[in-house]
Amino acid sequence: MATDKLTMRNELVTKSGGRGHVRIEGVAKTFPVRDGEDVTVLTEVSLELRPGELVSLLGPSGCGKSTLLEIVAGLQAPTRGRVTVDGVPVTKPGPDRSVVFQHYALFPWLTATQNVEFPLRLAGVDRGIRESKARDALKTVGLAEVGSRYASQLSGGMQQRVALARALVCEPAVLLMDEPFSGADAITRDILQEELHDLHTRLRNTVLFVTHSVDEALHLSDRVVVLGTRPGKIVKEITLDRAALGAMEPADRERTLGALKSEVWELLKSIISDAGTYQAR
Amino acid sequence: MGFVWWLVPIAGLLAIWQLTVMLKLVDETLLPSPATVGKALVDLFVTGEIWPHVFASLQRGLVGFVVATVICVPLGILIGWFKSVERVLAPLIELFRQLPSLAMFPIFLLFLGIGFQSQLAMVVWASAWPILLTTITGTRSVDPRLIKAAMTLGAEQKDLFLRVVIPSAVPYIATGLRLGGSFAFLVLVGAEMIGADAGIGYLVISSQQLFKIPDMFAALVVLGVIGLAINYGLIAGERRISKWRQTN
Repeated sequence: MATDKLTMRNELVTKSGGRGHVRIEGVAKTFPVRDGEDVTVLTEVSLELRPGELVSLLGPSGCGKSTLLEIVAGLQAPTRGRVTVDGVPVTKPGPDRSVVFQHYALFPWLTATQNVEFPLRLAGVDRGIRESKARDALKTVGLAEVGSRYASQLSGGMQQRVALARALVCEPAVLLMDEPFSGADAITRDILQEELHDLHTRLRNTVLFVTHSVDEALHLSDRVVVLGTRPGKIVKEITLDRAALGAMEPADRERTLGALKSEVWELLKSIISDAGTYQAR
Repeated sequence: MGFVWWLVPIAGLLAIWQLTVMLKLVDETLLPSPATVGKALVDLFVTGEIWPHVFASLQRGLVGFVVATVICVPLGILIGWFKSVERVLAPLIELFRQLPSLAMFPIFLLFLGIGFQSQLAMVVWASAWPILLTTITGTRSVDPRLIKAAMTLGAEQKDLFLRVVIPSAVPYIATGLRLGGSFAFLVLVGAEMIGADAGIGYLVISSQQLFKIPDMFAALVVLGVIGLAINYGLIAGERRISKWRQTN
């Protein structure tokens, strides 16, 4: 039944040209605070993700990047504005916008395979289809062998790959990743980034990737969106031509990325010092 | 090898006990030698006198434990999950759990009379609290990040409850059942001493009253061994249920 729904939507969007078209339209988010003024976390954020695009949200902590991701996921409602995915307004969470969290969030009482099957089970997918889809998803992330293990028996990097397989198994239109690699050690992080890069080149899902690592953002993204803090708003967008970057000599690529990196760094530094003066007042 | 660590201290205790009796440090009518107690123990089994008592105790304990479980696990889940239920019941729970089952016995006697039902009530009362409290804790301690993740994977309220909240409470519930099981057995023996005509607790107290002191000690040995077996069984059950909690 769920597969029917998926195929149906697939056809619908193929007509409108690709799946996973995200529009964030004038989104603002304000949290009420007890005995005080409300805190505005995001103000008037508008952003469009084209189907298949990998966009990084980069910014210091407190810029509301995770809040924005949760609004797209449907876990939080915006105070103003709205988000649509393929023309449909987001009102609640759903497996068409799967999320990969920083702390994996695997169900510890389920094996890797059962974790990956979880969304399929909720959607009422038949056992046979469920098993083969879970197997395929685990294979996609290179974990075909460890399906019967519990989360506690897997390394951090493996857990995050299981979480990614679980997010991919429903063939989501949009993949939302909330600092997915920041819990991993440096080497694992490099490997996971490489894998995500390959995976995205193959699958071409739309990806919204929240990070506070400049390197990670520049390394992975088609576009880097820098958010300023207090309140969070877009201060800069950098479009990267991945094909052109890939065709460059390594030394040239390093130089280009290096220049962009120092530019973004300066920007982030000024954001943080502005926030400092704001706080001091 | 682990067996040796059990055997040596027990053998040591028996040796000291035997010496104490042989050196006439205590009156042998009050503390018979291990050999005498051993003979009484064998006699209890050979004559078959012990079995009705063992069955009476196990039946009472088991029924009480099951009743407590059937009431307290669902109730604990409701209290842990629904804030409104908690608000109403929390003060009552805080108040009543302070009352030991021995203190409740007179009330049980008044309403249920002397016999099986009031002993059962004591067992239920004693084992209910650990089961209820750990179930509440377990239900409440579900990781909100798992709730969030399940929602993004398409879980509705019912799915969250059945597939996230309850499974994550299971290890806590298992601990509660283990504690409840031990408490049930401990209180059971007390209950049998103050109002029963069968059971191992009854055998201990009646042997003492009839001055069959070796029988009294033999009954205590049986009591200890059964308690040990129950406890190990419960620990094994708990491990099995919470298998996923252990890392490799």
